[in-house]
Amino acid sequence: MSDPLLHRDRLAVAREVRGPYCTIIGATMIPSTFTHRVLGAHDASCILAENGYQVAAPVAIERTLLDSFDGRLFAAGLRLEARRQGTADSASRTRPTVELVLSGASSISASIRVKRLLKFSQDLPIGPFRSRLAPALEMRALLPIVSFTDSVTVAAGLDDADKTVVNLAVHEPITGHTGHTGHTGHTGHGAVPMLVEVAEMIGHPKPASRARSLLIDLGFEIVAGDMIDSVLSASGIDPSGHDSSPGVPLDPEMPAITGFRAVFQNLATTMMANRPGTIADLDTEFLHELRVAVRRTRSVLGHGKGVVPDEIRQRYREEFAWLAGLTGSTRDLDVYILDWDQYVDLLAGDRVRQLRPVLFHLQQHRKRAFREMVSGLQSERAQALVAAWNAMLRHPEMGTETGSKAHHPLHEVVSSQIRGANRTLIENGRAIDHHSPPEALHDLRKDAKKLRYAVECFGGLLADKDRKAFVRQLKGLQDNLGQHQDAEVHNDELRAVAHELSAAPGRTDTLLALGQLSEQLEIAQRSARAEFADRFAIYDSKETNDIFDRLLESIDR
Amino acid sequence: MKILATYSIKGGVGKTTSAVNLAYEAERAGARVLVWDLDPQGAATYFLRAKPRMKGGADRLVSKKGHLEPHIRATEFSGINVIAADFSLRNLDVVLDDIKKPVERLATLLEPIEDQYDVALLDCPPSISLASESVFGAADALLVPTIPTPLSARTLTQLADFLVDWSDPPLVMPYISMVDRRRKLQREISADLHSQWPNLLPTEIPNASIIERMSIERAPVGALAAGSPAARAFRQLWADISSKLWG
Repeated sequence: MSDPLLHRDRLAVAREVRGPYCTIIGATMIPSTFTHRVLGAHDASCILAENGYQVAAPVAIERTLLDSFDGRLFAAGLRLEARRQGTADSASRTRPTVELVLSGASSISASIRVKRLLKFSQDLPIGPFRSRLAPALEMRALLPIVSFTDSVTVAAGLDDADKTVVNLAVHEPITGHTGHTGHTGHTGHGAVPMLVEVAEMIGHPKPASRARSLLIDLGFEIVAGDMIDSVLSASGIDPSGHDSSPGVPLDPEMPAITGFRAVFQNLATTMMANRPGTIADLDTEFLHELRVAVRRTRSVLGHGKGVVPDEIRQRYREEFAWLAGLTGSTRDLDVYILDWDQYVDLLAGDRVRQLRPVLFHLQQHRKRAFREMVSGLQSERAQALVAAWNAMLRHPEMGTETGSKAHHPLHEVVSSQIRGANRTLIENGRAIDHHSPPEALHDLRKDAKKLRYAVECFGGLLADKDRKAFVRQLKGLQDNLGQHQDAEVHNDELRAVAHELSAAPGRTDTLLALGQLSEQLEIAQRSARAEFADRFAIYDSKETNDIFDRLLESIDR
Repeated sequence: MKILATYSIKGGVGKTTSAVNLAYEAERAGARVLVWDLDPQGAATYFLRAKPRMKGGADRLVSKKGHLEPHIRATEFSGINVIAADFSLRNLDVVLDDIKKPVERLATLLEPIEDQYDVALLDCPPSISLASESVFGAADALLVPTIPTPLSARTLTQLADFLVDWSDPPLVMPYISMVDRRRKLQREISADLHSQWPNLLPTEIPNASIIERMSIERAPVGALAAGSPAARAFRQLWADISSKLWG
């Protein structure tokens, strides 16, 4: 026969392992939250006990909100939290565990226990939890956004059969919470008051409704959002993360130098924001964003002829070219390693296995390139460059001399630059035929980037709809040119690896597989080359031209 | 949402214990899980400590105006919700027979909640009927517990034969259930099943007393004895299924 005591104990043990707080969150609707101006958490717990709720012992939970640097989970409507739970009693023998809790627009949260905090979605076991995170996060690392200790007491409302039909979580006020920006932190000073969250169990709306009415009758007030929202607000943290987009608000009639300076300042902010994550190697996107910001800066300096003093343009184009050069090898290898699975996808399983030493070599190359890059980024020259550039940007004219077009209306200068960049791209593209060397396509890729950067960096002057439509057209051509060049760069890297491997004994199979991979890359490059004419024809068409005209008209509007 | 059905033509092979234990392990592995008890016996409902009641009965649910959401209940097991069975499900075949496109009906009922769950686990009664066909029409995969005995193995063949004519049949994932490795015949039949069925999942569920105790304790074995061989087997079985469906 059933032993009710044994039964309850075992379930209690199972719950203790999962943790009572985690348990209630997993099975419930998004909670509604209340606070009280006078009552404390202890008072609230006592009142709930007096009203028939089963009040458990308080537990202390270390809670950390996780997201990528650029807030990808937030943008996808997801929230990922890490919870380390021990009991408030330090003498407890309960071993704290890490539980990742994923919530979203759906009413139900999912949770998974892990041995340690994870960096990437692919570190999770295969399954739906990982499948929900991976498309949003892609290659980005999970970083702590805000951390705090939550002392919480759970009060359960039971039905006649002793089944939990509503849960209330009473949170102590929080005064210490650590906000993180990337991997550098600051401590928030805003306090979070005592909160009571009412978690409705699915299929049991009435007990939750009764609990909410009780709280209102007791003078509680409704608080927007939940505990995490309150902590974010008190910490002054914007969960949308760092925005690396190049666009800034611009006025068409503002002096050109003012507009250019605003664009440079935004790009400098992006460089500075991504530098620590690049050096700490948190994920590959930090370097990518840093590199793109540097290239955009160079490109906008190029567009700034007559606006930015010539001597300044010259000096900083060279200096930023040097900075970009520092980062090139690491980024190329990052792209190679990130795309590795796609590259080897067409090869047979045996060949993929034989290529493992090649991947290992690429990873080793990347480590060396990364070390050299970090040394360069931390060098006196790099630091002096950043300091001097930032000082320059504080000067309204960006120097003592004034460019001849510095005070022309911004829209005139930008319109002329975009028109010129497009003309160059079309002329150079039309000159390419089957006999043109690969360098011609590489140069055309640079022309396309120059145009794209101008459109994006001065996007604040352009109508969103027209800008997006034009970038879509341009991107089609850029993708083709990118495939062509990536295949070439990656094949060069393969040759370097082959050279190293040929010196090692017993690598025949690997070298043969490497030959096949190299052939695949050559096929990809040839295919991109063969496709070029069609892709360019789409760009050099009446349709694109009409879109381009609308884009420029939108500047004047 | 992946729709999985614990299904077998044969009774007493471990469908319901599989449904409940896999639901528990799936939730532990990070899935949002809904168990839909389609068996009028309501054993999964009982294990998950839900009330065996479906307002309006199978008739109303299957009708044009029927919706699943009002029937979903939270269980005491975190992250597992349930649609309880009641005795009206004994007429499921009859009520399905009275509507248009009965084979599509379960799928259309599940459609509105597909963003709310990662896994819907349908615990099916033993039979091959119109209700089973409606399950086949909805399911991404049939999880088929198979005891290593000649009769149980035979029903697996019957199922495969039945699905041959389906245009878009669910993936059939059989696995060895209730195995007693001390028995020579069971070991031999297991080996045969592994060689004959390439989709047979590698993990075998043992015939263990802790699984029998589920009906006394009314809880999945993972909640009762997480380190027991049976709990570990269900955990591994879920990992096998996960890698097939999400890998």
